[in-house]
Amino acid sequence: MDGIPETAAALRAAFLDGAATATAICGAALARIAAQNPELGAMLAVDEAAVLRRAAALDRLEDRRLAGPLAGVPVAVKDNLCTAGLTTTAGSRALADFVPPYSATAVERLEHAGAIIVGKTNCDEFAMGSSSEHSAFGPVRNPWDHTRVPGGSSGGSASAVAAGLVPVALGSDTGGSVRQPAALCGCVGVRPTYGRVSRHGLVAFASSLDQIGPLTMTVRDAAAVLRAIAGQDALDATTAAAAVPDWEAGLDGDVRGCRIGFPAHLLERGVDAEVAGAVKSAMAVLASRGAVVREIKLAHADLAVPVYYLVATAEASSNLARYDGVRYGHRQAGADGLREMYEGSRSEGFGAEVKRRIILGTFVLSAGYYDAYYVKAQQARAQIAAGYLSALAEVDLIALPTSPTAAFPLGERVRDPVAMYLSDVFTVGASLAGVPALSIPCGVTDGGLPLGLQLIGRRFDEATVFRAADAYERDTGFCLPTSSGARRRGGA
Amino acid sequence: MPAEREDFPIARVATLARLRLSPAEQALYQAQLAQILAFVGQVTAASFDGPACARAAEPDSVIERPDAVRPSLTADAALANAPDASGAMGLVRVPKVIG
Repeated sequence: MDGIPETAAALRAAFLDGAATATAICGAALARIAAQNPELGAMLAVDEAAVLRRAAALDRLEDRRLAGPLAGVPVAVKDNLCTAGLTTTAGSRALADFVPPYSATAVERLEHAGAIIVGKTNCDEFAMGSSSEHSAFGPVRNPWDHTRVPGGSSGGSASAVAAGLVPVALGSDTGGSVRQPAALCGCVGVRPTYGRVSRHGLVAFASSLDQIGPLTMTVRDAAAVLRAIAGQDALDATTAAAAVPDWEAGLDGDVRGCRIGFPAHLLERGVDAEVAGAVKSAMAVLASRGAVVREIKLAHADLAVPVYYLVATAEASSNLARYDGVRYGHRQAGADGLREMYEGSRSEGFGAEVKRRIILGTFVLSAGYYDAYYVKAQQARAQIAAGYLSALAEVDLIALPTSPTAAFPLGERVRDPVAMYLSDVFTVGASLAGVPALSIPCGVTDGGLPLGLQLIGRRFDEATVFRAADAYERDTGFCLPTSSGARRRGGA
Repeated sequence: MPAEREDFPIARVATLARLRLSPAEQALYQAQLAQILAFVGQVTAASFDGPACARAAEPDSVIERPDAVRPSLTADAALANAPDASGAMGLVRVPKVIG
């Protein structure tokens, strides 16, 4: 490699003690992007000149400690987060030329913390997908095996972090879009509690579910990044007043007495044996450190995927009504009349999966079907959420696989929407319940693909999630794919 | 009532969604939506007591901000992404609405 550390914590330390300049750190990230991105397709817009200007400004500081807790750390941002002056496409032809006049609150907070935004990451169009194949700008590839998907929809963010292009990326998680790609690429991914992070400047998909979260190589880095972006924001009325703790300070490796509920009944079918085995082994690791693991039942868990796809598509059909070709976004050339322009612009701008979801969402909200589908789904959502909250009254954490399989081959599920939707079977529950969840690498298949363990906590108790994940990581380390695809273990 | 597999009203829903579908897209989506509706049928078939709400998605408190004039986008910045605009007049241009 280029001698530049691989984690945000190590990079910051190197920047603060003068071992590395921000210019050198960012130059290395840009060089890696130039070398690897043509094959991976993980990054879209990269403004090299702006990155180096910002790095040089940090290097000129007389006291580098003033630069913030993420000083000098290069960060990639999913392309559905607005970045002032830098193209934000959400993976869609509809926004191919959209340059936001403002930045998302999460992006502003990262920059305020000293991070350097190096560019935007590819993703499923409007964050709708589980494979990052539904981007108007081409698919993303998994750095562990270029013939396989990185997961989605934040696949570009996961691929960029796993390949070592950047130590940190932001993603968005509606039904698992941070956690599932983190699992399939072997990195850490966090979905915070609903209300923890402002969505101001996030291109909306399903507003009762969307959350922004970090993808990193280590739990410690994830805790530091979440702390930087979390907290109430007057520009997002759904953000909560809850205090933002120093989660890093609580990472002491001690999980003695932590009660972890394991719903083994959900692993009885539809889950690869290697996934089930790896998660059970992870439970043994945590138990060996003093955690109390016991089996639990999660009520109505079997309904989570269909409920999610009814609620999320209904909200998407409403949110995406704004793409009408009038104020911004793609407009069909030469349309004769306003209605023709609306229909032509939307039909040319949206890809197949987005159209499919808008159609389903419009249908479930339409007269005659609203009660049978949308109202029923909302009733079921309340029951599923109650099931999670009830379980979390008895235990401190719930453990599940993040994904029922390891990374699957490109193209395998793209023509079968239901098969693709079932990729989210273990992640949509926490989304529907609004509780925090984290995915951490928990092993590698015989075929050399990473697997993810998901830890789910109580609302606003990310502290316990981070603490247990960090304890697990202390025993297992983190891992990076090598150019040959083999696993290379890093220090945690 | 839940829709039957064979009668997904693709043309009507596409009109509501302001989407213009080719015959091939209509056929594809009709088949796929029927498959998806069969998949979500377990929800429509289930019986639930209780309200149709998702409390998990509601914030603990609604923040209010002061009703004060603050800096906002200039007209030029707001129009910069418009597909067709008259910058001088500060307007977005659209096809003729009234004959």
